[in-house]
Amino acid sequence: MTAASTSLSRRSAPRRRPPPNWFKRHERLVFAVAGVVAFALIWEVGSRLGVINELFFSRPSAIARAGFEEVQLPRFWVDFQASATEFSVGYVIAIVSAIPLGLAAGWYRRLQYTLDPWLNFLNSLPRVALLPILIIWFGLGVESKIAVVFLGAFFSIIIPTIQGVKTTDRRLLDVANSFGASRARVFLTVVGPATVPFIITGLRLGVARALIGVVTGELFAATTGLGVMISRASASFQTDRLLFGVLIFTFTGILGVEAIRRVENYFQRWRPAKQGA
Amino acid sequence: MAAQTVPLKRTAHPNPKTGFWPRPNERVVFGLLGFVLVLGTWELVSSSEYGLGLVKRVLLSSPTLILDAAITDISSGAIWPHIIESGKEYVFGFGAALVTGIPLGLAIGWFRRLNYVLDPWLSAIYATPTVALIPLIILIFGIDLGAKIVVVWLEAIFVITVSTTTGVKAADAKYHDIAESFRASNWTVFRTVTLPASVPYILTGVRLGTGRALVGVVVSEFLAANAGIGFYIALNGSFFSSARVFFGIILLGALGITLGELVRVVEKRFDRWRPAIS
Repeated sequence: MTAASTSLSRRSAPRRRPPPNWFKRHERLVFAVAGVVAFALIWEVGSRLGVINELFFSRPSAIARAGFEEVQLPRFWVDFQASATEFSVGYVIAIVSAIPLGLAAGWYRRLQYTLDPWLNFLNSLPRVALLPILIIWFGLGVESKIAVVFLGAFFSIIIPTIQGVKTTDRRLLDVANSFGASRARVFLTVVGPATVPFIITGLRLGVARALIGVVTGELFAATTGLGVMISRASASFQTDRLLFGVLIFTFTGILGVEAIRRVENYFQRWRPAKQGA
Repeated sequence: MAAQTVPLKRTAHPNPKTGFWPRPNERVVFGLLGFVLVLGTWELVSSSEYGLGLVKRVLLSSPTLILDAAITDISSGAIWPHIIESGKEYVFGFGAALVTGIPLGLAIGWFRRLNYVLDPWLSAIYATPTVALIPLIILIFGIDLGAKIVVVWLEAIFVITVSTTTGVKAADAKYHDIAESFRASNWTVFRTVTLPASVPYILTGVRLGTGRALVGVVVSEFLAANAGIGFYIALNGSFFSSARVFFGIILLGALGITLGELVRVVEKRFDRWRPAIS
């Protein structure tokens, strides 16, 4: 299967000759690594020489040290756990509610028309703006953050899902109809698989939205969580700790997107590689 | 060109044009139904003078109470300084994101090696919820207008840049080849092939950016401000004045929809010359 698809994609790019030397072959990696190393060096040296204000921008070695110290503190793990809970519970609730509702709204036209004004309104609204009212409803604890994470991810998932159902290739629907497939059968065998890429796009957007929810919720009003750790560090001018906290969110974001890319590849296995560009 | 694809779309699917509901109005009818249903239920369970009082006023407010609060704050003029403050942050921050993000995206898409150098950084920042940097930005820039402009800029620039870069790279290789066969200079290729081809992508980035910028406005005003719509929402939240919180939220939603639609109009205008691609 994989062999077939690679040969197909090879054929689609016939003009590329194998690059001549090592540098050309690894150009991308070389430039990326050089860029990262140069930036870190300038930052570190500039900070040590006093060209870059250490109080505001810290330096790579200080961030590494702060991170090393931080992970040995029990409080860090309490914060970490709180953030992880908020993220995962809110995101999972969003998935299990947004996908079925999105499929239904895409399938039943009138349901979509009924939901449309609210979906449009809430999707255009920065959902973090709902935090104050969510805090009145759910309090300062984990629950209000779960709610804001849920809202952030829910709309990012449901909207592409609806779109996916609606943009199913008409030819495929016609073929299924011509062969007398029942509605349920059309939904399961044509619409469902066609919607998967859209759902995954939604999941990917949802990760980013959910993380924004976690951070904003915790910066705004919370007692535990990595956002609280960031605002604590900022209040005491510990820029190194602050940036370590930010880095954790960066890595979570990268990991989340990468994980979803794997899921995407898994679901795309059956698809023949696209020809042309 | 466009004429070729239209009949393809039309022939598909049994499409009942005549029925109990005339089709063009169906969307409006059901949309209004959903709208009225939610607002009606909300009013009914609330503790306003028309409601049954099932949920406390502090928790849920009600549509009529929100309308009252809106009328009070608009006629007394209390809301205007907040709208103006948020407007300033938005205009300057988003404007800065446009004038920096688009050229940066074009450059990254055009110069392969610049792309290689900046790619790890862009991916990393793109994956970071940049709101996490707001405390640091407040440390550096204080709590004035400047800090919010930086936050809005930071929130909006990366979607614009990444989308622009994609657009430059997605310009059809065939057109490049043709231009090169006719010995077009690099600059001519850029101006006549790459730039027009990336306009739709740039506009998509801009549209996404309008939403992100609004997030920047709200969050930075939540965290440190003395004016702005976000501040208005947070302040009234701490007074448990739910009606005003909802009024602020509705203002933001209206703003978000308006800005998004505005970009969509521009998108449509720029898409006109484009042949339909199935």
